[in-house]
Amino acid sequence: MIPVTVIGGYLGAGKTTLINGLLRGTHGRRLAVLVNDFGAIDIDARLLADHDGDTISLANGCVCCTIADALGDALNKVSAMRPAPDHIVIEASGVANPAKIAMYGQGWPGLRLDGIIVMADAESVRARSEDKFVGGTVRQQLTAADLLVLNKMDLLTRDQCDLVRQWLETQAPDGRIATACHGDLPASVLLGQIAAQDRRYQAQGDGMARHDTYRAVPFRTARPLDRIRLGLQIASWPAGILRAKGLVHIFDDPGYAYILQLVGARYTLEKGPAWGKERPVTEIVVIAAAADLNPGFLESSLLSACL
Amino acid sequence: MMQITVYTARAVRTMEPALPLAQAVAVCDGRIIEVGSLETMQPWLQAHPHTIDKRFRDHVIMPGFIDPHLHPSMAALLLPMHFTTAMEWRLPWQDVPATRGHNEFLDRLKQIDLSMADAEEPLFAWGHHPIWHGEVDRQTLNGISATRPIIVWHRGFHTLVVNDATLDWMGLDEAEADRHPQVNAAEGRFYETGLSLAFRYFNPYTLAPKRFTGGLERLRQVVHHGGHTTIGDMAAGMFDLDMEWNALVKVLEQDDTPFRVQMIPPGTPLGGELKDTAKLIERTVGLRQRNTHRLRFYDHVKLFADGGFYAGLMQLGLPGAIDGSIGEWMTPPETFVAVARAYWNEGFKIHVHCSGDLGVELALDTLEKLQWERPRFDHRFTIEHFGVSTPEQVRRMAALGALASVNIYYVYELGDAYWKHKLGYERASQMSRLGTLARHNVPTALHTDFTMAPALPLNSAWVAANRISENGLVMGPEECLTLDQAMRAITIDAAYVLGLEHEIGTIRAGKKADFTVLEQDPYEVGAENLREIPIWGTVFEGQPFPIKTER
Repeated sequence: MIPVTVIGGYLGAGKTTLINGLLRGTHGRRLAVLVNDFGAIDIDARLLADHDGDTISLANGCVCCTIADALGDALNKVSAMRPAPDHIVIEASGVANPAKIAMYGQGWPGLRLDGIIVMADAESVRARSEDKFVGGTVRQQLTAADLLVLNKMDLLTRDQCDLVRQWLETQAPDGRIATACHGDLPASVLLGQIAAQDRRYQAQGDGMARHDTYRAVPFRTARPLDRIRLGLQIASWPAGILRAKGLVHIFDDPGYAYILQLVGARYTLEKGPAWGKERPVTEIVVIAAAADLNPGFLESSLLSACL
Repeated sequence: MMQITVYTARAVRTMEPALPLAQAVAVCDGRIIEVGSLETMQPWLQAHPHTIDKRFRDHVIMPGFIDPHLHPSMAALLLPMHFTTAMEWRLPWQDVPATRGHNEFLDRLKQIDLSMADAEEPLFAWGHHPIWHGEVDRQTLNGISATRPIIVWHRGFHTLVVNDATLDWMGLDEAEADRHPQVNAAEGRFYETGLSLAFRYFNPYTLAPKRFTGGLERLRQVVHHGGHTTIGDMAAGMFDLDMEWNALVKVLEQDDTPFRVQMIPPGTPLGGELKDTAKLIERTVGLRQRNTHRLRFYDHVKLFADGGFYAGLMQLGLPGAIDGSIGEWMTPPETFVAVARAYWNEGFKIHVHCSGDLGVELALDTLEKLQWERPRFDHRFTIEHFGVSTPEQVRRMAALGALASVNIYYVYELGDAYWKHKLGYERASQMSRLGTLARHNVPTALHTDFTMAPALPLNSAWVAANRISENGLVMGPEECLTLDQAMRAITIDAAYVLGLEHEIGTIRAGKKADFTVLEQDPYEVGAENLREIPIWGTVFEGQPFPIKTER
């Protein structure tokens, strides 16, 4: 099934910039990106392979499609593409409840929801959340997030950055938070694509380092994990742990590999292929904000989920 | 050579304060030549050939009724379906009785199933409401038919329930469907966002050109049956402009269509962000090149503030909803202001869909801002629907020159439900606050937003003047209109909201000869009996169109 990521957040939070970055990115994945309109999509003419009205095809295999008030139609269209896209990204409108949009990703034939990413403009999110007209909408968006991206941190002083981040943690106590400038986040954080050789991710920025840098931490063990303990450990992880993906050797069903996918606060553990002749082994890669990660924390957390 | 026709009548209720009551109206080439009596109009009659038509001698002639806000395309989707509603609906081809109670609902479905000749034809039933009909699920519907697809659609359009035969017809894999958080395959239930999954299979059937034009043909009868001679399509092109336009022209631009349609397009794509206002305006203006005699785009445009009233998605100010739910914005407020400014500065008349008081607040804050930036007189900025509002907002509307076009049927159908489940009694009883609008002299039209209310202007006027809910309670008597105010709201004040008061809405020399011909005089039967008045038919641009029922 094709994973679906919903990008939400109020107008001006940086959704389009983020999406432009994904379309240009060298992540090697064929993305199908559904946007509200092409107006702000900025595509280098050299990358453009084809443009047929409501769909733009890029030379790197990505496509961009307008939703035009009919998300169902757009999803039908991209999920019928051959070869199928590796990942679908839906840009929610600035006033949409991303949780509602996510239901499409969750329930459309052939698709599964990867996660809800909600962007917040660090400079204005707090004022917007108290606005007479959109306060309720903005607060609803923040609580819907699996992963919050606090964007435009370069416009704030360090003290302001700390304050807005602390405030955001109170607004979305379950959401994990990543910080960014210019919507620039590694595709690994956004889409969960983790290559074993990438051990360190450095976000591009202005060098002021008010945004996070990210690390990929591998974990490996032959000991079986306990389902409930694993859930409890994950729930205790700090806000800077953003993603995890891998195969799990689970105690109560030792014949099958289980696939762990974590996006912010959301994780799923689904039954995968049988181990067969292979020796069962748990292999997980976790992506976290470097600043939020004590060395050894993840290792000991995951080991304590083992039997 | 002028050829005059004089219609005499028991009474001509002109709705003109200068000459409210007359006995005859002279018509030539679709226009009114003079209103008065046969004696007073002698100079015209002596100067030109004429005939005296006495067919209305026992009838009452009124200006043709106007509904400034309904949705032909939505109606075209719905009217081919079977009505199984908790409220009675008078349709040209049948009187749909109120269906109340679980067993009565199932009996009605059975009866429809038996009446359908083709055993394969899907049965679409609209109007289910759990408050009235109890819950139905897949098993319940399997009991109606194991072979015919049966699709039961909620009155407020949020939920569909289907039987096994429908799932087979759709070819939808049950396990696959069940993954959707808003689909319950075991119960055969699709709701909210899950509806899109169902529509993916139904649309090719329900939007097929033949079915759609068949639905529009029914709409044509409905509009005539209600006594309208002018309607506003207040979001023209809501599904697919070209498809709808072609169907509208084909079905409605006919010599025997006794009404005109003012086409008011949506000013910005729903949910869209504004990028290029010049292009947007150019597109909206360009629509006028399509105009035909009856179907006309002009300098009116529709914008959207908050979510729908029946769907419960209105934005409420304090103290909010009983269930704590927050509504939706159909347009982001910043975008709303920017789009409104673009049309305002081009001189457009702007109609704003506003369901809750916070939606009204956004529209009025915007109007105030635009007035400050670039003052306009007689701008006709109109608040549409007006479900929940505050008295202070009405006063502000008066100060800013805004108009109101109100769905009064909310009080009838939702008064009780929103009292108990959404707003509490105080605010539910003051929904659609017409009395306050009248006290502040805000020009006010009534509309039905058909299919949100029956397209029957006399029924709307009846609710406006009595505020009786479906269970017989009087809701907010201080917000009633008088009989005369209610009749104005379906004639001249509705014409004013559409910017056509110089052409229609009253009976006076020079206006279009559009009349609604009644069997009784509203001013004699009184407010409490308005909805019972039989309609003989209409006169559209001078030509009589009796209502022929198809029964």
